[in-house]
Amino acid sequence: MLAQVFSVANQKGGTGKTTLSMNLAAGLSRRGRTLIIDADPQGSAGQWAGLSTDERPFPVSVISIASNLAREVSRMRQDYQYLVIDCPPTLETGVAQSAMAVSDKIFIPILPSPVDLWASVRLADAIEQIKIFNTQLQAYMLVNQLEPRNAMSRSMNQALAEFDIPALQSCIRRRAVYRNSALEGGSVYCMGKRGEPAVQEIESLIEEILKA
Amino acid sequence: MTKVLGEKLAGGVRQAKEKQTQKNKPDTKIESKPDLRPPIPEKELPLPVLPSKRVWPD
Repeated sequence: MLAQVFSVANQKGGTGKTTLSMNLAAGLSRRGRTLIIDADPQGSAGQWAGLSTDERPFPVSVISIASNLAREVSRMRQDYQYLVIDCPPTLETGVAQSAMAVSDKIFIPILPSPVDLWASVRLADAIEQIKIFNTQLQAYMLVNQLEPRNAMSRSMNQALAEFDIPALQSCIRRRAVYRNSALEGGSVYCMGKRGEPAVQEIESLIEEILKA
Repeated sequence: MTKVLGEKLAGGVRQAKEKQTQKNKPDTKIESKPDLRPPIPEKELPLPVLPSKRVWPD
């Protein structure tokens, strides 16, 4: 059985791509053999996992891919159930486009801010181009770092409706535990009681994307 | 207030989409002349030895 390939992409930096990729992969690894592909030259995913200890290693292998992303993904699909590609924060190198071309689903984390919304228009455009070649590609926007008491966060739905890309019902709240888990080279799944609300979010997200 | 803010955000997205559409339009005013020079053969770069590398676990 071939792996489902998920890309996490947004050409804007700081939208939480790596945090989402790592926690998504940690959750998926509880369901099947999972691999993280770090396609970002910054190497954040590898750095993150590298901070973990022998006593509590990060549960998912990470590989970095320097070139021929499509070929490498095709090769690895046979050995895993899920591949999660952490894309670079740019469309200029073509790496994100290569990832989208071989993905089943792409998730676009977007912060509740006007600048992030406007920047995502360009990515939406790139996705439309890729869909000409990858007709099976499904793209979803995901509100990240939501602050429910913040008016901007509450106003996101109206703006997201302007995109031709559907938004997931699940969203990720701004929580310190996501940052803290990175410091420990782990995921929210290994943060005990304080990680439980975040685990519920990630589980809810996974349930939704696997059904989509 | 949420509705007003939402409308502002939505308006910003519509504006950004319009700008993107304008950017994507080909410039029909410029006439391009066909390039009749012979093509320069490109030297194929050798593939890297390790296109992918395991970074975790190390």
